[in-house]
Amino acid sequence: MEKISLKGKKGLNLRRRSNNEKVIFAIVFVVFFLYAGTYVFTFGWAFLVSMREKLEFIHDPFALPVVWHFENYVEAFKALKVGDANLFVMFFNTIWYAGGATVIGVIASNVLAYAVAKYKTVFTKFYYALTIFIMLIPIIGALPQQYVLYDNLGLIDSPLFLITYVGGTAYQFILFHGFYAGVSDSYAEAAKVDGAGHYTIMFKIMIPMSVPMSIALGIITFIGYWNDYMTVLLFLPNFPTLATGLYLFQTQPEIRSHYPLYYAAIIMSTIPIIVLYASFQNMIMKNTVAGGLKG
Amino acid sequence: MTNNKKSALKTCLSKIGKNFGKEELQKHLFLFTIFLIPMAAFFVFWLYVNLQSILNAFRVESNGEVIWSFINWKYFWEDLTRSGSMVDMALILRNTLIFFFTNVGVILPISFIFSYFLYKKIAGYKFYRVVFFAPNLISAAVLALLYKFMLNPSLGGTITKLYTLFTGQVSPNFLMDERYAMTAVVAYCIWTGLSVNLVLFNGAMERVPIEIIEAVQLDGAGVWRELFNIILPMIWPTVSTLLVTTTSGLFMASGPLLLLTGGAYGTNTISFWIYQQVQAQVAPYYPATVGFIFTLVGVPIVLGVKKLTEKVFTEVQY
Repeated sequence: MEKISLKGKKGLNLRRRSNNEKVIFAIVFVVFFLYAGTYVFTFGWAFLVSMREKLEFIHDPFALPVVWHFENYVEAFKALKVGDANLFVMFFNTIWYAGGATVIGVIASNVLAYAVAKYKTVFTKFYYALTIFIMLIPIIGALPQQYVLYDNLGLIDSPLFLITYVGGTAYQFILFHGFYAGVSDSYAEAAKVDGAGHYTIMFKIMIPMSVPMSIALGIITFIGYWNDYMTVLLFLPNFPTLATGLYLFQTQPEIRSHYPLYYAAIIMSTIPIIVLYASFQNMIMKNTVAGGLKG
Repeated sequence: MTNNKKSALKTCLSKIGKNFGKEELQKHLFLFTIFLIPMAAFFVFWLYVNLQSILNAFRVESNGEVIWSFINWKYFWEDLTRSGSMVDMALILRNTLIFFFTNVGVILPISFIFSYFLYKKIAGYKFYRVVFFAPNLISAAVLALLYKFMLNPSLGGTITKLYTLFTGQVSPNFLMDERYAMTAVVAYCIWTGLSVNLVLFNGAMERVPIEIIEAVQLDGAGVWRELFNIILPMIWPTVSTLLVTTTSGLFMASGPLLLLTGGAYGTNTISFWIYQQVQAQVAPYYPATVGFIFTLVGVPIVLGVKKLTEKVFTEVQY
């Protein structure tokens, strides 16, 4: 695929829109405005509730805050408890779970994709086909058996659960594979002439080239695990993360007197992710566009 | 080791060396170390688990002993066809299909059209892009809980207020009412589901070479012709990938059920029902049977969709 120069972007509005098109654009604009409005409203509402007096909310959920209770954001850290875990513990659990699963998975996918893309053997071709097969044909109903196995191996409710990510994921593998397939062999061949071995070529030449992509994919993956609740709830029930902790707290009776604190926690749990994404936005957009699926 | 054995070993090794070459050996050694751990993980976490799970479809526990049996297949058929059975499999299957068609028939086309207008820089597109992409980052737990509160009349939920305003009646709790729960969950899926597709479609459209769009515009093609005759074939690899992955997730996606309804009020799906069985720690045999049956149903569907998407447009290289 050729790189496309961005200079030509102006050309999009080369021709003036016809009247007919103006009507279409106006209608879509209104639809966009309403759709965006639902999100702005939802989060604006969450913010307003997070600023209200704790008990006042229950008596009149629809009022605006009389006094702005910024301290809700501090109090939420102690008051919202699931089992023994408060919000600090949930943040900590989220970071090790999301961080660990991301680092392990991205490194594994990266190295595997490199080996498959650059070493054409019967085995690596088989491995590629296998990955596509597993992605396309999920065996449904394996979850109970998976649970039994993890339980027997002592992985349930243990940080050791992270070792289940050592195979990488198909999505990351395919993106990395596409990346390495596009990297010229000439660097590696030059290094080979200089006497570099397979490991040197991989660690010193190829993997460093994939750093921007690894970071971009890493952030996307990290966000996914940060928000993941079903896996954590099932396999790490005593390590509540932000996603599962907030879900569990909402099922407890204490929620009734804690709504504003709860909304404050909801807002705080999303801020790190938004900041992270915003800081790397361009890098992510450039490196993670999914292309076609071959094979 | 005796000298005899040593020399035998040496000749043996040199033979291998001759056939293999030192370089070949190093290469295979390298690949071996790379694939050792992932392959081990694959055998244990994927192959073993899935083989056992498939075998479980033909097993049943009787008096503390696991025996081979087809009885679960019979139970499945009864659950599917007979009303008033323990598990309303027909309803669960219907819901699964509803969610799937919502995805393919509603969410994908809307995201495609939305992302075209973002790409065409509709007024305020920068603002819209931020707002439309953001839900992608926010935990489903957060979005679903906020949605749940909006639909809860006792918390003064916004949507319930609107309902009362327009109909003059007391609002039901939509997510806890068999009549509305499924619609409410589908609405949630559409509301939040556009985001991820918008990101992917937008990324793909940004890559369409500008020269092509310019040429089309000089030809005087209108919005819809440009959208369906030019953009769609150009980004077809992305569209078909999404179609195929959505189809392969047909029986695997459980959406926001855990957060919104817990599968109650007539909203359960196959995947979430299986999840519930694990949470409830019941014997794995019946869920495995149900899963295996839908695996068998799913394989031809996925392969068919894949074949079909390859036929629609031949791949464009640019």
